[in-house]
This record gives sequence, structure tokens and C-alpha cells, in this order.
Amino acid sequence: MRALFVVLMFTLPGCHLLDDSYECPPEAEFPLLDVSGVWRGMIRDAFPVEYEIVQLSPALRPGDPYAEGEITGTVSITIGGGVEASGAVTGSTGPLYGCELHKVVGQSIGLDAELSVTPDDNTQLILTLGFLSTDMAPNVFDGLVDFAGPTSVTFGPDGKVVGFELDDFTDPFFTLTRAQRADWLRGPRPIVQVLAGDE
Amino acid sequence: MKFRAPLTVRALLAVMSTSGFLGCIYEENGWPPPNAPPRASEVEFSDPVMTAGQSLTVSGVESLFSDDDPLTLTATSSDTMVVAVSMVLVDYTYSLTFHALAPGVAEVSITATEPMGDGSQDDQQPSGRSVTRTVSVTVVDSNAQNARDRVG
Repeated sequence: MRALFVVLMFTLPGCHLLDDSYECPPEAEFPLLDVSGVWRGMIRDAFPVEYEIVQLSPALRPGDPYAEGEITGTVSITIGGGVEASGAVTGSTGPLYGCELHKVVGQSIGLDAELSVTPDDNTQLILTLGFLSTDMAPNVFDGLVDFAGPTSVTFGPDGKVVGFELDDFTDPFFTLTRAQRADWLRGPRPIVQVLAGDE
Repeated sequence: MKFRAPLTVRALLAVMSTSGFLGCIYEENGWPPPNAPPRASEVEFSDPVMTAGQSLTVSGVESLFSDDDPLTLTATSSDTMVVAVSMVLVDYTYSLTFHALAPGVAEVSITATEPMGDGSQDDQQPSGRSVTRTVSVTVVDSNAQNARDRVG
């Protein structure tokens, strides 16, 4: 019976945690990045999107394994009809822990944005983007983006909007790639200095 | 002498008891979950301002609603002298056209109905429920709009 129990313990998922001799597989430690800068991607291979974000606080703080870095910024996207929508971004970034519970093996990021576009005097369209990634390589976030809003605008001969198309979808193959680091990263970070003054 | 039921009777009893047992599980655990009603999605629709004589077509109107089951969409105008509406379904996509007829304001109600419920034969599952989103359409006089454009 004892032998059966031991066999089951090693067979059932999760039971290996009961075994003190279990060793984590080798995992590379991930150096957390300041994600401030310009990031670009393409939603559904059709809509180019560009985030310009500022990380306001560190993604990891001593003594607080659940800390997250606060993010703010702007985003713009070009939809069908050549119309560009833009808006504000809020979000956060934090560490991903591996098998060794205190070892950082990745970095997550979440960005929420509400954009608007006014293609003519009488039409305003709202678009929301939600981006989430829990799989990051240096300077590349692979994640998914939720899109809700207009995908294209059609204009009449007089330049007035005669139609638009709405959609609500998730692109699970969205990749956000760092295009460049923000210019001010090469010098002092004024926004961090402001925050430090607030503390 | 001990009575022993024939094998076929015992098998039948076993099936009946098992199915009854499964029925208890089915009901007590609330499975399958009740069919969720249609609801408004996160897609926002700003109130349009139109010029009399202008038409505006919005395609993909089903994106305004969310449901796991097929929805039927309809639209009505509170004042058909100001704004007339028409809804067409082509290739599983609904297109709603606003026809601005005369200056004024009209409320356009867009209703999504789930006529077949979850499509199952389960009469315990609700069907026919609907949700409505309303858009306020303002129609301005074409001459006034032209004058405004010239000033702008």
C-alpha cells in the first residue's frame, strides 16, 4: 500500500511539490526592463499601432514581490480609410516568477487605452484597446490585444463620413516591439524626479 | 429460496438508477449553466450629428452586442420624419443605415434578440430575451451646415 501511495504521489499532477527532493529545472533569470519608450505592433496584420509609454515606478521593489510598475502614456492606431485614432494609456508592468518562487524569469505588461477619432466635424468614434502580455523577451512583448471600435471609415466626395465599420475582437498573436527608447531616458528622468518629490 | 431477478431486469434497473443518479447531478450542480442573456458590448457608439439629406451606414452593428448565441438585430426610430433607419443582414454582418430627413432629434433604438436561446432543445433554457442600445441622432439643416462649414 505504501508503495502504491508513493507511485501515486509522483504520478498525480502537483504531487511532486510534496517531495522535498524535487528540483526546479534550470531557468534563466530575467533582468526587468524599464519599458519606457516607443513600442510598435500590428493588430490583425492590418492596423499599425504605436504606444509611447513612460514607466513611472519600478516593476520590482525590495520586500514587495507583488509590486508593479505604473505606466502612463499615449497610443495611436491607423484604421481603414487612413484614419488615425489616438488616446491615453494606463497600465502596469511586473515580474513573473518561475519555479523558484523568488527568481524572476519574465516580465508582464498590461496596457489599457481609450482612443477617439473625429474624421469630420460631426462624427466622433471611440475605440478601446486592451493589451496583456505575460511572455516577454528583451524588447519584445508577445501577448493579446482586445480591440473594440471602428475598423474603417468611408468618406463621401465632399469629405463627409458616409459610413464606418465596427468590430469587437481579440488578436491573440499581437507582438509589441520596442522601436526606440525615449529620448529623455538618455538623460535625467524628470517624471521620476517629480514622483520622488511627491514621496 | 432467494429470489433473483433476471439479468435483463437487473440491467434495466441499473440503467434507470444510474440515469436517475446522473439526473440528480445534472440538476443539483446547475449544469449546464443557464443561458446568459444578450448584453451590450464594450464597443461605444457616439451620437451622430447628420445633415438633412445625408445617409450614414454603420456595418458590423452586431459588435454593439455580446452573446454566445445567434442574435437578430432590429432598429427603430422615435421620429421617422427626422431619421429613418434600415437594417440589412449580408454575410452574417448587420448594416444599419441612418437616413437624415429633416432637422430635429430622433432616438434610434437598436435591439438584439436571442430568438432561439442557446439553440438547444432544453425547454428549461430561456430564449427570446433582448437588449436595446439607444443612439440619439441630431439632424441639422443642410443650409445651416453649409454656412457653418464656410465659417469653419
